[in-house]
Amino acid sequence: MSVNKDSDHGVTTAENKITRNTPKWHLIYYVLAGFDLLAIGFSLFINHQITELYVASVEVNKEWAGRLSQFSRLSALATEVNRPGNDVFLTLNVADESEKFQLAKIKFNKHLSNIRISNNLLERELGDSLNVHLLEIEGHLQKLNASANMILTLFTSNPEQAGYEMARMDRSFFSLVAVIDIMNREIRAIQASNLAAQSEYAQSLGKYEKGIAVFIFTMVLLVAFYGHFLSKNVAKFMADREEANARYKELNETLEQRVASRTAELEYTNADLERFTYTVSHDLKSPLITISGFIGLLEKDIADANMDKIDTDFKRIKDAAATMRDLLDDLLNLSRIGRGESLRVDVSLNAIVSSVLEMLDVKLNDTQAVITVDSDLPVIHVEAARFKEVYLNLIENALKYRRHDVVPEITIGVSRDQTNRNQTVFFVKDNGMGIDPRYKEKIFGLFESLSNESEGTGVGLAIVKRIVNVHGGRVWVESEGLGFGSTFKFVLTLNDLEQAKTRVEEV
Amino acid sequence: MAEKITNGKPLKILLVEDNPAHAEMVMRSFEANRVANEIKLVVDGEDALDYLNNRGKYSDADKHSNPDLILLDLRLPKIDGLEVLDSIKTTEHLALIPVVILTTSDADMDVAKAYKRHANSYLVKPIEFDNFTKMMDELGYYWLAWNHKPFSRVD
Repeated sequence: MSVNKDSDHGVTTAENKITRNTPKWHLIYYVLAGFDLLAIGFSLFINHQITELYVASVEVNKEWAGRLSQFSRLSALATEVNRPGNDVFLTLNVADESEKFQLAKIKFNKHLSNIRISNNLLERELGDSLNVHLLEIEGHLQKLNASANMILTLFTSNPEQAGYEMARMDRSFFSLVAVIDIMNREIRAIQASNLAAQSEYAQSLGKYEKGIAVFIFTMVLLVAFYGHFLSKNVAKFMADREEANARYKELNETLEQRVASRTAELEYTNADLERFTYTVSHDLKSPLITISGFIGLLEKDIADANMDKIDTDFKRIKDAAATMRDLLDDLLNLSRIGRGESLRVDVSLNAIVSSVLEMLDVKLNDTQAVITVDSDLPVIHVEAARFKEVYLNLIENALKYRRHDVVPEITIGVSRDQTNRNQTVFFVKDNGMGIDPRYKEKIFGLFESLSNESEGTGVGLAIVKRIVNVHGGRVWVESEGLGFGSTFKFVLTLNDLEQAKTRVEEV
Repeated sequence: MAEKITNGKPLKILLVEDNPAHAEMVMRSFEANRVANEIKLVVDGEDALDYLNNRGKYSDADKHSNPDLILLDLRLPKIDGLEVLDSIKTTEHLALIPVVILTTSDADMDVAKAYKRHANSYLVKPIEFDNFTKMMDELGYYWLAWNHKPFSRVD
């Protein structure tokens, strides 16, 4: 019963283990994949930023370049404004130069107002600072304008004064150009600082990109390693599960086997009981019928004074009574087998056999039998008294069914099973009458005897069989046939299934 | 009386009995009631089948002719009574011979098994001697005198 409980418990634990051990690998995998996606997204974002930066930088540069060209054009226009005041001294054509001067002034002013408009589109601080420069330029232009007007007006009337004004005009012109140059330089400085900031940003983005690349590379490596780990784990998990399943199945089978074995055992016990009752009612009745029958016949023979018969009548009655006594002894003996499991001890089979041979001393002398005993018989864990009975019955049996034309030879020993080398086969071999193969099973039955003339009650081999079975073993007989002697063999260690089979066969 | 009914032909019983004391009791009863002319005793199942099939030491068919009645014990050495019965009832030239089971067993299973194998009658040996003798007398008269035999013997 305790064994069954244990195995039930075992099954439950195995089941729990299976459910509890289901790994959360897929979750870890999702997390890794999530990180990967995040990294790739971030990398795309950074790439986008760099491209945008590049585009923005190109735009800004274009804008600043345009502005610079505006300034150089302003500078060129200023030269045009300045030129007529100088040229008049060479061409001496005041009207013509005045016209050129007016034209150049208009162009210059237009361009300047254009620049102002575009300056107003700039950031306020920068636009303001440029506008301050524009005001300066306007200031210088007014001076230049005034000087030019003076030159053109005075050229014919007062050339000396005109010359003097020309020098002043040139100064104003250079001041104007200098302001443009300052503006130019300022713009270039802004451009340079813009570029530096952009390049710094780009560099930092580049650093991020490198970081991300390293991160992605690491993640990919991790995923690859994890995939490897996963595949290994999955394989292991599958193997584990298969093993668990196999174990579960095996447990089930073992349980089934146990159930089968127990059922067979119970059936065997039941059948045993039935057979016992049956044989008792049948075989004990037999001598009773003889006794009462021959008492009746005895009465008649006495009445008839049939003296010959009287003696045999008495003998029949006495024999029947003796048979009955033997039967009762044997039955009592048989019923005791199997109750002494606690009495099993390690005992030398050689000791058992020699004590049995001592008990049989007289019979052995009478029959002149030659007994050969293997001096190296094993130590067995059995109920010693019962195994004395086994050997007593087997040796007595060999003597009982000896051939009368040869010296009885009995060999007692052990051998190895041919199919299972670990299995020890115990044997008692004789050179007696042998056994017709048809009766190999029947001889082990209760009250079975192959001859109605043999001594004994037909319980001996049934006792042997019962004792061996109770010890978890199996007994059988081998014989080449009538006249060829017989070998009784038994094994003591059968597994549950074999035992169940043995018992089912018995039933 | 019996001889009159059977027109002077000798009547033979085959007694299959391993217990010598019981065999003697049956034989002495039949000697006393003088119903049968001959009782042949065989002591085990193998012997019985050898006799009926004229095998081995019974190969002389004239000397060992088929009986008019078989008295069969159930528990027999070598071949069991039920097997002998089965063999008789499935062998063409033996199947019609009346087989009366005469045994100590009154187990239901034995009775059922015997009838299933076409036993013609099932008798349990009585323990009291008077009943035993009475049963043997009536058995003899019934099966050998009153009972109409299935065929005329050709010996």
